[in-house]
Order: sequence, then C-alpha cells, then structure tokens
Amino acid sequence: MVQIIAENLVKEYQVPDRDPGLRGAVKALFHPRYRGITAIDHINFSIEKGEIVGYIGPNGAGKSTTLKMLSGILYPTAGSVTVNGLVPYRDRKRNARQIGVVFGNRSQLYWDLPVIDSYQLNRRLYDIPDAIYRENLAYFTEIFDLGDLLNQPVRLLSLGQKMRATIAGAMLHSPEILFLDEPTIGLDVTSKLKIRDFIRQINQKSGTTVILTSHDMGDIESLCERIILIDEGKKKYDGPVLEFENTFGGNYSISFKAVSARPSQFPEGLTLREDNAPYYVVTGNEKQVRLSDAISVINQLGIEELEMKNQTLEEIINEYFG
Amino acid sequence: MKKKLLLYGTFLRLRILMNFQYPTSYWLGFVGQIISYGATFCTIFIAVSSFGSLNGWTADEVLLLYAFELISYAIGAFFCFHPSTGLANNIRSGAFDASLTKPMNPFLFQILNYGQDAAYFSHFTLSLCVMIFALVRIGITPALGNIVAIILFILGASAIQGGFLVLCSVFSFKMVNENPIFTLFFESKNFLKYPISIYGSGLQVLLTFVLPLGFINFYPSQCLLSKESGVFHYQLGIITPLVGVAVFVVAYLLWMWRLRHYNSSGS
Repeated sequence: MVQIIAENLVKEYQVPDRDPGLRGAVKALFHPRYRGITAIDHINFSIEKGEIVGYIGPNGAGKSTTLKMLSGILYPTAGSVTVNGLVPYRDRKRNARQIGVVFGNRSQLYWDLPVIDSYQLNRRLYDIPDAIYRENLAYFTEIFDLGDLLNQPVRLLSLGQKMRATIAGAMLHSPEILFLDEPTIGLDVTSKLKIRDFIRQINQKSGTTVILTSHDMGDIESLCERIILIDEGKKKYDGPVLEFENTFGGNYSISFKAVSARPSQFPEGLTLREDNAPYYVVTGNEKQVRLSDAISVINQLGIEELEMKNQTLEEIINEYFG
Repeated sequence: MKKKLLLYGTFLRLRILMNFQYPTSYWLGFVGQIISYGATFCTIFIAVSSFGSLNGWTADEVLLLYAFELISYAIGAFFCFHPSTGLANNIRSGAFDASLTKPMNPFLFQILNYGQDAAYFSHFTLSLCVMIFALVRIGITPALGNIVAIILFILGASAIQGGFLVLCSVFSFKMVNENPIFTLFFESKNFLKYPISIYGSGLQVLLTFVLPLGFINFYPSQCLLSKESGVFHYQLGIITPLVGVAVFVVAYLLWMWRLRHYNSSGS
C-alpha cells in the first residue's frame, strides 16, 4: 500500500541577496534585494507502508525541507504531498496524529523536568487511550532501557539517553509513520548501534514506515533497503541500496602476499596500487573484473595471505558528489 | 470538554513545576519586581501629590490609572509575554518547527507551552493592592455594579495588553534576530503613566483609535470616576471589553496569516 506520495514537489525560499562586506551590508540596509532559491526542485517519490527509506544527500540538499513539508511545518511552493491520504500542511492537526517526528539536533523534552512529565503531556496532547499509553510506555521503557531515566530531569541525561527518550516520546501515540532527521547526530558508536536496533524493532513490530535522514552511511546500510538521494533539491537516485552500490560503486581492493618473489604477471583489468614485494595491493571494479574472478586469478599466482575490501557506501557517495 | 480540561491542567502543572524549579530565583524575582514597580507607584504618587492635581486628576486617581495599567499587564503578560518575545528565538532554534508537529492549534500551543509564567503574580499582587488602596481613598463603593465593571475593564485591558504583545511578535516571523517592535510597544506605554488628556488632541486620537492604548487605563478609569477629561465623552470606556476582544482577534488573525507564509529557519 502506497502511504506517502510527493508529486512535482517544489519549495522556493526568498533569501536576502547582498554584496559581500560592509559595503554590501550598508547597501542592503537601504535597498534590500531578495532572490529566490529553489530548495526542492520537482521531486517525485512514493513510499510503501512499512518501508524504511534513507533520505540522503549533502548538507543543504533539501532533506530537512522535504521532511518539514511531509510533517506539515512548511507549505510547498508547488506540487503536492500526501501522507496516508492527508495533505499535511492543510490538515496539519490530523496529520500530526499519524506521524512521529524527531529532529536530531534538538530535544523535544522539557529540559528542567523529568522525562515522564513530557510523556504525560504527549499523552494528553495526542489523547492516547490509557491502555495504549501504558502498553507503549512499558514497551519503550524496555527496549530503550529507560527504567531509571524516566524520573530524571532531562538536563542530566547524556546525548544518547536524551535521543532514546525523545524517540520513545515521539512514538507513544503509536504513529504509523516516523520521520527521523539525523537521529544519530553526535552519538557515540554504542549509542548509534542501540538507536539503529530500536528503529529496526519498531519497524518490525508494528510495520511503522520510517523516513530517515543521516550523514552516517552506517545508519543507512544497516537499516534501509531503499535510498532516495538528493542534491541541490533534485532527486538523483531512488531505489535499492544494493543497486546503487552496484551502479555507482563496485570498486574493491585486494591485498596479498605472494609465495614467489614476484608474480610474472598480474591479472588483466586490475591496477597494481602498492608494490612492496612480496606484499601487493591491487584494485579493480566489479564492472570490469568481478571480485570473485579476480580472487581466483590471484589465487593461481600462489599466495600466502589475502585480504579484500569492498568500497563502502560512504565512499561511493563521497565519490558520487566529489 | 473533560479532555480539554485535562490537557490544560497538564500544561499548567508543567508550567508551575518549571517556575518553582529554582525557588531562590523565583522569590528574588518576585521581590525585585515589587520593589521596582513599587518605586514607580511612589514616584508618581509623590509627584502628583506635590502638584496637588494633574489636569484635574488627584494623586489617588492617577494611582488608580497606573494600577489599571499594571494589573492588566500582569494578566496579559502572564499568558502572552514569553510566547511573544520568545518566538524569534524558538524559530531560530527549531523549537517552533517541533511545536508545529503537535496536534493542536499552533497559537494556543505557544500560549499554553510558553505562557502562564508565575513571575507575574508579583505584578498582579502589587497592582491589586494599589488599586484597592486608591479605590478606597477615592471613595468608590464596593457595590456589585462597580465590581463587575472593574473586572470587565481589567479583562478588556488585559486582552489589549496581550494582543499588543502578540501583534509585536508577528514581526518575529520576518525578523528572526532581535525584534525592535517590542521596545516600541513598551516605550509607548510610558504615555499611560499619566492621564492621556494632558497630551494634545492629535495624540489622544492616536491613542484611542490607531493604537488603542488609552483603553488600557485611561478610559476605564474615566468611566469609573465619571470624569470629563480629554476630547471624548467619559462613557467611551464602556466599550473597553469590546476593544480588548477586537485587538486580540486582529492579533491572532495576523499571527495565523503570517504562519501560513512561514518559512522555517532552514536546515
């Protein structure tokens, strides 16, 4: 079932246009000029119920702007969005009940008060039936390990604890859809792994649809089967992560130690990167020589050790935009 | 209805918990406000007493005038001060964006979430005492009609004070740095320390129809005292509650209209 649709979505901002330096600032004071910048440029996508989609792109690509239109914060300049059949910015309140939103760079909990007080407010705000509230609170307390944290003031929590508490708070009303804008920003490795694990569990337990933005490709690789890649407001890629890796990546490197002093010939189509006999590093690309073929050819040279490395998603993205 | 009350109760509870989180700071603020506004009351009272009267207004009457200003500010600011003055900062920090994802009227959410600041109990307590002191000395009897009139005047004036704070904050949608309009509002209220009939008729018309600040204290007091003073009839004060509703509704509609064109703060 298709749950989220964006059609020809456009968002333009008016920003002050001024010359650099003091002169520009003075000039703008008397004669302000504005120019339109297109943050989102005719984007189309549709997302099925239960999917976890990675929405990625460099800073300023328009990721947050898209999420803000999906959650009803911003009106689009043109085009349309529907979430579960609702137009978020027109039907903001009803849309709010079916989505959970987490902005990673700020907490939505009351800083000075215990976590549970913020949850109590959400309970009333979303009018969550008592049974469901209790059930969800128990469930999230368990999987997010919140037991001791609930009665502590938010200001005393670590960044990781705060993020766990925030995501739990955004899920108390059992939303069908979850928007996560950089949920792992600034977190240490352990906290990141926990957050990923929670997102996976929530998705599997209730079939929650998740749209996730992140600059950590580890998040994307471990959670998403599908990515939507945008750059300068335009959609560049939309499809399975694997296919993206095969199309734009496929580089690998093989390090090995040869038995004989020097192999007479290196396999064709591979590049010799390092040559410290008897240690060698060769690189290649799946599209010219398949990794499995390359290994079997190298094997025939007579080797003692072999180590191979596939290009990571992060490296592919970096190369793609670089 | 019961659900709405529960929700309101929860907001109020959180607000009170937050206000009393740091009791020393709260009480210091309380005493500080009493001293600072108390000093203003004394200065006005002493100044007018030594002149005998000000354009036909006795010192007690001028005291009543300023008590109307402060008590209505206490109520208007109790609800609207932080939601209005904090708006620019909330837009910059992204907190405003987050509040737009709640299933609630965004204006009401701002008022309930950031308003209801217990700090204004100090303004309220002081101005209520001064008001009763002035009323007793002037000799206004505590008849039911008078009490109802005073309450309606205070409510109307509070809506004007709150409405103007909201009006100022409408500019924060555009200017997300410092919003200078608030200073303009607070400075214009200096006119209200004295009966506006001491000013020229042009200024009186301005403070009646363009920026209806006169309805905060001058017209209600004039009406209560049945005092001819200024260019308009003393019974004009009767419409104070209506002016209050009108100012607040206009402020609300402008706020919601600006929200329609809200562009967030990027990222």
